[in-house]
Order: sequence, then C-alpha cells, then structure tokens
Amino acid sequence: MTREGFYNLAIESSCDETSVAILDGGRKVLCNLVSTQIPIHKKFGGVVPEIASRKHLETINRILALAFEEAGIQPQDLSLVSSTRGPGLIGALLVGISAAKSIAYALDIPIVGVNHMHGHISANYLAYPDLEPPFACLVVSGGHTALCLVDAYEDYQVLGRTRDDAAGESLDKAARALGLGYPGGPKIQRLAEAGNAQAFDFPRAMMNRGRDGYDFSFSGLKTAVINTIHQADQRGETLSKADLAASYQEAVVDVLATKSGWLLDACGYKTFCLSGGVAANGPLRARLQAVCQERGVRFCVPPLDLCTDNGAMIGAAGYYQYMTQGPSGLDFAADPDLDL
Amino acid sequence: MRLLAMDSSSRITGVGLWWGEEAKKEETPALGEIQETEPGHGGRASALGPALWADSGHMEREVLVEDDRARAEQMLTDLDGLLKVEGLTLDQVDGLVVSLGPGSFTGLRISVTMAKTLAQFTGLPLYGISTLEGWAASLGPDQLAAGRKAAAAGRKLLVPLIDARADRIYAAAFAVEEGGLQPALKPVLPESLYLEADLAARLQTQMATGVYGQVLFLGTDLPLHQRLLDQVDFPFQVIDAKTCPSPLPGLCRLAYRRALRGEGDSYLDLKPNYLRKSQAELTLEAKERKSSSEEAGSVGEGRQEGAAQVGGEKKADSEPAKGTELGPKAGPTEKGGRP
Repeated sequence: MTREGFYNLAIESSCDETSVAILDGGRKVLCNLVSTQIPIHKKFGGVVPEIASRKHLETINRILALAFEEAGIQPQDLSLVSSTRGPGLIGALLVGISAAKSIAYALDIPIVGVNHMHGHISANYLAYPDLEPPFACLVVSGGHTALCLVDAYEDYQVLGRTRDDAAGESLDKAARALGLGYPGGPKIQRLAEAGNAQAFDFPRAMMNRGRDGYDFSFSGLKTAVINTIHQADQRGETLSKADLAASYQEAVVDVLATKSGWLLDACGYKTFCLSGGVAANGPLRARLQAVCQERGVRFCVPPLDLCTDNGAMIGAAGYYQYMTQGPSGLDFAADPDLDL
Repeated sequence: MRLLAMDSSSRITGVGLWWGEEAKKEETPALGEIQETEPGHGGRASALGPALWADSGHMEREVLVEDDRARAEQMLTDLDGLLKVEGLTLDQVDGLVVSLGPGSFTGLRISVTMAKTLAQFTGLPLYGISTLEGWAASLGPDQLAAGRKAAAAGRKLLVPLIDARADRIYAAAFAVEEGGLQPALKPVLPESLYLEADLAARLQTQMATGVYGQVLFLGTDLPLHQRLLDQVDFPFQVIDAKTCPSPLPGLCRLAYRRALRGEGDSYLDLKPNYLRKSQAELTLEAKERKSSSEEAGSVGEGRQEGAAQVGGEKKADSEPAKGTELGPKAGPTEKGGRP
C-alpha cells in the first residue's frame, strides 16, 4: 500500500540531529542523511537548545543539497514534504519546519507536519516491509516512554506513559550521577557490560498491575542511585560503577519488559514493535524479544540507525498521515509539547 | 528589478516587495492604499505607499503584523498573500532579501531559514542585510531633513535601536551627511549589544566632539528604552514608529545596491547576525577563563578543582569587562526543555 514514484522529502530537527531523507512512497528509503551535533554538546554535558538551533540552521541547506545528490532525483520530482512539528526543542523544530515550508512553497507541493513519536513508531515500517497495523508498541526515548496500540495507520491509542522522567532521561541522569557524561544511555550500556546487574537492588516503581496499569515512573530510581552513591561516599567506600550501571539498567529494562508483557497478555495482538532512541539499548531489545517469544508474538525493532532520530522515519509517518488525513497547510505551527 | 523582503527580527513581522527603478511597471497601483491584514488577528497592519526613494527604487507594498512568534511561522502565508495582491508569482521576483539581525534569535532563524531555502529551491539570488543598517537606511531624505532647524548646522548621528531585554540594546550609530546617507553606511559606533547606560555614555562622548549637531533615534522598540533618552544630555529627535515602522525599505535599498553590483549571498553559508553567543557558551568561557587563571596562579599545586565539574549548573559569576561585549545573564530568546 505505497505509491511508487511518489517522492517524499522528510526533515527532522527536533533535538540534536539535523536529518534529511528522501523516500519513494512510504517505505523505500532513497537516502537518509543525519548530521549529529553530539560532539558539539558534549562539553556542555547535554543538549544546549540555542546552540542546537544555530547548528541546525547552518547545516540544513547543505544536507538538503546532498540528499538530492544521494537520492539521484531532482527537486521538481518531489510530491510531498514531511517535517517534524513536535515534540522537541522549539527553536530546533522551527528551523526544520521553516525549511520544509519553503520547499513546499517554492515547488508548490503539499506539506505535512509530523508527530516525532509517530515517526519513531513508523521506523518499524521501514525495517519490516510487510508490517501493518494492528500491533502493540513500546516507544522509549529521551523524552518519552509510552505503551500503545496502533490499530490502523494514524490510529494511536496510548495506554500507558511515564508520570515523571522518561526512560532515556532516567538513563541520562544516572550517567551524570556516575560521572559518565552525555549522551548517557550508550555509556551506561557499555559500562554495564562489565558489571553485575544483581549487585544493587534498585526499586521498580508502579508495579501493582491493578492499581498502576501501564504507567511508568522512573524518578525514584534516579534518586535511589544518587542516594546509594552518596551514602557510600560518606562511609568512605567506593562502589563499582559498572555494577551500579548494570543494576540501574536492569531495573529500567525490567519495568519496561514486564509492563510490555502485561499489555500483550491483555490485548492479544500478535505483533509487538519497539522503537525510539532507547530501543538501541541491547539488553532492552534482548529482553523484549524474550517476552515476545514466550507468548508467540512477532517482535519488531528497527536497526540502530533507524532507532535514533532520523528523517526517514518522519517520511514514513508523513506518507501515511498524508494518505489518510491530507496535507497540513503552509501555516501549521511547531508544537514543542505535542503528545503521542 | 523586484526584490521580496522578509523581516522577523522583532515582534513586528514584515514582508515587502521592492521595485528597483529600472523595472518599468505597466500599471500603476492605487497610491497610498492601505491594506488591512487580518484585523481580527489583534495585530497592527499597515502598508506604505510607494516612492520613498525616488533615486533608486521604492517599496511597492509592505505588510507588517505585530504579534508573537506564531506570526513568523506564518510568514510564507503573508508572503504569498503579498504576491497575490500584486498579481505575481515567486518566479517573477528577481531576488530575496532577509533581515539578518540582531534581534530575536528564534525570529531571525525562521526568516533566514526560509529565505535560504527559498533561494535554494528557486535559484533566486539571496541578500542578507544587517537589521540595524536596514533601519538606518529606511529613513527617507525628508525624514532625515526633519529637525534641521534644531540642529542648525553640522551632521547628524543616526542611532537605530533593537531591544535586547531589560537594560540591553542592540544598536549602532551612523553618520548622516546633509542631504542623505552616505552611499555606504559608515558606523561611528559599531553594531553591538550595549547596556543603556554604556550606549548613553558613548553617544555623549561622540556628541562632545562637536562634529554632530543632533542624534536621531529610531526603531519600534524605542518606547521600551525611555530610560536611555532620560540619561542623555544632547539634542536628539525620536523618529517614531508611525514615521518609520519597519526596516524593510532600508533592507531592500541596501540589497538593491548589492544586487546592482552582483553581490549575492550563498544559501549554504548565510546565517543570522546574532551579535551574542549562547548563554551556555558564555558561561563555559567564563568558567574556563577562571580555571585557567587559577591554574596559572597556583604554581606547583598540581591540582585543578575546575575539572571536577562536569556539566554542572554553575551560574555565571563573572562578567567579561572588556568594551561592549556583554557577559552572561538574562539572554534573549533562549528556551529550555528536552523532548
């Protein structure tokens, strides 16, 4: 169900990656270029919104030019422009949106403003050409943690979300407490490989199925690791950072996997998709694969380069949004707090 | 030559169409016609009649809307409306002009990104012009001549201002010859971020030389800086927002000169003229300066405390004290929050 020869240019600039992709239809990626700003933000210990916005502006037109070279098509061949409209950093979003609107206006073609989280989920369409709704889905990123059911293209039903920190945010904060720097998730995972995941018994919050449902809470976990380090400091002890990282990661993965299992048991869907930046985490992928296997459910997760922010996933989501809901109009606004 | 101009450096967003003199227009539009722009939007709308600058070209139509950031996001819609009123399409335009700042960081990024990308996808030449120079060049000969009686002899100092929050101002000072601006704007005070008191003192010094008879202040943000006017003790005149509501005519005029000389900008390289680093960079630099001076001061200590702080929330504690460079503290348009 995707039209060939329908060239779709997609822009993603919601945080610290500037990305442009060109798709043929909704699933065939002709190019997916990503310029990351991670080295720039590293020395600040996290993404600096103003610097991110400036870098997007300096990068976007270069990447656009390269995208056409790589895809081997001309701007006049385009049929659609897709652009992330939120959630994200407002200044960063506006650079991508302003560029996308200008392309749509200059070429007189339709534009769609895409929900970044729909993009993460749609990354699975790129990885699995035969994947179709309905399926159950866990989206985990630096800003979001949600369990949802996708009953049709553009039909997202959120059943659980985080009440405080997102899973990725929690990993970033733990990394900071351990002095690992930014970005935290990958550093925690690397350090955890050499550690004992059972060394510390960190809390698993909101695990009463009847009362808490599918919602998450990770702020208590962050506090627990900070307190553990602090108390050891006061006793003059030095704890193994590898053990702390492994135990912390285990607690996060445990909660995410357990609740995903609950959802699968309840909905009875036969396909489960994992997505979002934290979907790049190895132990999380392995655990959810096991959860699905136990239940005879098909497990889908995008390759690593489609888990992190990229234009192709926005193109996939944009294509289906356009086909089901039509264009957004030239004056749509950025929405930094857009919900799933 | 037709130039299409965009400015979102302040709360007043504007798009305009400029006619270079060598472009002969077949039919003459209604002169001085006022175009109301979505009156229900709560914004202020106006359109200037033609013939501000008979010598080189004139503003054909200008649409100004005062609103928050949301308006800048709709700039392409305004631009499309402007072209439609003139019965034109984008490919009948000969160049794109954009206001580079200083001003609202987010606002500047919207119009600069739009102008660059329009240039990239239409092949039109692109002209990025300083917003302060645009303001300065927006005054017509009549307006420059105004106040001549007050300043019987001598040259004038033209000082465009853009609000930078609290007691900070983006400003420059340009010398004005009798009879109009010099072909190239030669700044007497450079474009920079000034404290009100500092700008007042610098202007006072310039006026004490006796070279200039009067200062002309302009810019729609001027009412936010009444305290600047209260501080100065020299003859001045305020060009109000009614007389000069936008930098668009000046931006176009300066762009037109560049266009005639064939000097365009690259859509790959053009960026806003922020005149100020991000808060995070200023804080980090202050910290690095501090730690390197501590290091130099503690010979043989062999330990460096600053290095222990990784990504800390250390507050800006020292203002760099050199010249007009302002240090950390409440900065314009910096927003937080991660998705």
